Amino acid sequence: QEVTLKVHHFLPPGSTAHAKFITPWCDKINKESAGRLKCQIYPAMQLGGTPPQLIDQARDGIADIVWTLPGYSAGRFPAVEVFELPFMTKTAELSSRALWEYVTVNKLDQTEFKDIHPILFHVHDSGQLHLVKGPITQQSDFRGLKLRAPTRQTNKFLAALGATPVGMPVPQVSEALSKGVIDGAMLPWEVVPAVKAHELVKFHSEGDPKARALYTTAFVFAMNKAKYASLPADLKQVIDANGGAEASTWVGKVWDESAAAARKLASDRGNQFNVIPAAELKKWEKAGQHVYDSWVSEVSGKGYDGKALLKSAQDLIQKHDPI
Amino acid sequence: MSEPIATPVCAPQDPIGRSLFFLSRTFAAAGGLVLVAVSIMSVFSIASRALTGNAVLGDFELVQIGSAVAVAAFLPWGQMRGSHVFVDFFTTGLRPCMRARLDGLGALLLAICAGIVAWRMTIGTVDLRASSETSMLLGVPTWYAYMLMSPSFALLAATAFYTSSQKFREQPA
Amino acid sequence: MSGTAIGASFFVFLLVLLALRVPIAISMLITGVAGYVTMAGWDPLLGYLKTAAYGRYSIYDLSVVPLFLLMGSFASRGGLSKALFGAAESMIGHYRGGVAMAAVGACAGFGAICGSSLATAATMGQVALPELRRLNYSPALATATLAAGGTLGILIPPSVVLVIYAILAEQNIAKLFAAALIPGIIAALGYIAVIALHCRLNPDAGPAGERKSVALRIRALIDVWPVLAIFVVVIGGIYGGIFTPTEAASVGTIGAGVLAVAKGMRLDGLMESLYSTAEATAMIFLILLGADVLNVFLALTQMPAELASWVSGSGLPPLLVLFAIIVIYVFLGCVMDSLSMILLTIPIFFPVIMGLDFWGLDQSEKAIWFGILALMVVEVGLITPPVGMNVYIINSMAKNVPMSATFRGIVPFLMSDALRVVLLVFFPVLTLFLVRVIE
Ligand code: NA
Ligand code: NA
Repeated sequence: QEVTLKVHHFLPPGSTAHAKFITPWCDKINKESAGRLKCQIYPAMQLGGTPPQLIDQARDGIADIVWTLPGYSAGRFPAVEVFELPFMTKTAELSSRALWEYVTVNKLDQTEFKDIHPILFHVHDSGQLHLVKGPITQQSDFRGLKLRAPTRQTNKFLAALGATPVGMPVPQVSEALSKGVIDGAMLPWEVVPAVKAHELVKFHSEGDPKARALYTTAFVFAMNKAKYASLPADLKQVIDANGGAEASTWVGKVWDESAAAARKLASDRGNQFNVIPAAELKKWEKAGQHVYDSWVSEVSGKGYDGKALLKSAQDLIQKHDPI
Repeated sequence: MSEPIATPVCAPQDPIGRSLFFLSRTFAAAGGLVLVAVSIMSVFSIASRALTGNAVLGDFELVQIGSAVAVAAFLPWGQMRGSHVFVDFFTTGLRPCMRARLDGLGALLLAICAGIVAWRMTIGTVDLRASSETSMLLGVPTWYAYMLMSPSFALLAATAFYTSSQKFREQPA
Repeated sequence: MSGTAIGASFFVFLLVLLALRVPIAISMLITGVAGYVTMAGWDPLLGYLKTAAYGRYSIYDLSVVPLFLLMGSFASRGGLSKALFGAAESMIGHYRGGVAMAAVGACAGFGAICGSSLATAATMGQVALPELRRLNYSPALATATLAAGGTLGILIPPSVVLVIYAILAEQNIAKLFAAALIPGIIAALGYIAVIALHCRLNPDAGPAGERKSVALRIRALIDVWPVLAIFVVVIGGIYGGIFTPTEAASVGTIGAGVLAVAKGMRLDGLMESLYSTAEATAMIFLILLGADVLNVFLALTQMPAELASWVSGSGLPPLLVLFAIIVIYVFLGCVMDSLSMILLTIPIFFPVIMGLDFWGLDQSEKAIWFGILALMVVEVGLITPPVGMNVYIINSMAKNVPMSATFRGIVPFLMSDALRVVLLVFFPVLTLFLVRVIE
């Protein structure tokens, strides 16, 4: 029999996620199932709702497959948020593999992801600092800067470094940058062209590529449980073959590659780049220590062993994505 | 079609109609005050951002939650006041009692839809409470907003059902 | 049946419900629900309805809608509509047709702090109609002027319809507001020209009023400073990027509220403002919910996407497609209101327009340009027979003027609307100039 899967996500068709990950993924399962699995992709929330509601849409079968950020639903996926702490990952490719393994060995599919069938997990390329007025070379440069923080954890981290974190939705960022409402933003390269940040800022302060990233964000690509269960064994096999550790790694690599392309756009404009040395980053890590502590105590309050989870994540990243 | 300028308001005479009228007006007043509170908070946040560089923590979330709750609370009042846009071009030739029946049909359809939405939002409240989802910065549980919104849809269903029964009862003059 | 066929059948079903006086919001909701079940079954629908209302109503940018309505309500309680008309009349009232022109000017001024056409028509009607009557203006000119002038409430930013367009088309509200400003001013000037021409041809239609002394003029001008202050803060703040549209609307609402209290608004006045805002908001947000369900159903059928790819592959000249869309809007506008038209058609027309080339505009400029065009054309529906909301509102205040007389009086104003639309189609720079400046 033929099965058409409704795939729902929140970005426009031109985005990396749609064009370089979801569409090729769908083509691949179509081919490997000899045309029996088909996707109907609905970009830009066409099936209604808001991005934080995507998880529930996968659970309730409004969509068969969704791509989203667990972090949008704050408080709901505390264990996976460990990857959003500062200085965890290095490359999206290798750390995505670590993230998949972290979810598997800690059996998160039986706790916080028990209502959905995760196909793969990934992270984005390293978050960097994109600044209007001047570069950041040391911690004291943060003082007095208003910076857009993308997640709950980076919000705390920027405050710890001495900046004033400003929480705002992504579409607001370009407006805020161009009007000086914020002095810069913390973003991965992949997002930079979409919000035109490379045209609005002059300076890009990047962490030492040999050190851990300033931050990243975790993503999940997940399926409705009943829909997955309803597939015949050979089609389940096709989905399984395009999920798991290998597929997660592949998606991470897609992000790394799009980062390189976006970075080139900025350098073609003549923007200035500087690298924040690893020794300096070590100091920032100390300043942000309480961000780790508060994460550990938060997840411990929710019935997890926070310390063990943090260690598990760090060990797995070190194993797959060593420095 | 309603006009957004206040016109004199008369409450229905029967007891059910009167209680629905005053209940919906109370909802509207509560929603309106939430809206005013949200704007005062925004103004305060802008002022504090300008003076100290720090906005009110989670100001965007408060606006989102507050206006969602307020707007839902307005719906029953809109129904009691009959503020709907409709196309009356093709039915102007009909006898008034026929038109009243069509209006009754429209209100009945709304009562059914609003009833389903109220029911589903209540289920949604329970789901979200179980999943312990909160807002990003302030950690406000999302189910609070759902819990404050679903009574508005239940009241909307009740007022629409009431309007519908009134319309079907209308006799030719 | 293919998705497109199902989509088309349910569209017909929707039109039948509309023709049967079922309110637009409910027609959309019922059609959306029935279509959704047909395409995807009950379970996904029941799941979707758990979160649909919160998802739609918690959109940050949408919260400006009730705020702009409340701001307009406060502004009219604070006597700002009266002050605007007084100032305009003191300046040009002594010319032939001058008081009618002053009413258009005051509508434009009120439109600059109010997001709704109906509110503008109602407010300015209350203020200006008695004066036009006292001076023996031709009844049809008086009512037609105010009905047409009322559309400036939406044409001049801030504007509720533009906010909805911005959300549907995923465009920046501040840029759309900037884009609307020059076309809005052209609209006001066009209406003033119509009045001048009308009074030149029929000198009795618009008798001159009294000439006011310089001292009186200065006093009248001073009275409008709060309007200016609110406009500068709200629109200037949005254009300048100092705050988001929602924050700007909050500032404007609180400012207008404080002013109304200073002018004598008490608790009962505040509650009346809240009730009328609640009523107008309820109407809009019920339509929004209905449109949301309907649009999800349409997305499930893939009809909009297929229509768009059919049109862009058909080789039809883009301008022909655009004019066809405009004609459809004019016909829909005969019986529907502007907001419902935007909600009903943008999900279908927007992908079509984005797939075509117009004057080599890039995607984001094209989206803004088309948004302003659509806004202009749907607003015409407010003054076209048989159903013209603004005409109804003004006529309900001027009981002795037959509806048909007002609609006859509207014709020259409609001609100026048509001329303006043609102008904006062929000179996109009129729309995009300010957008490029603020960038
Ligand atoms: Na306006
Ligand atoms: Na009309």
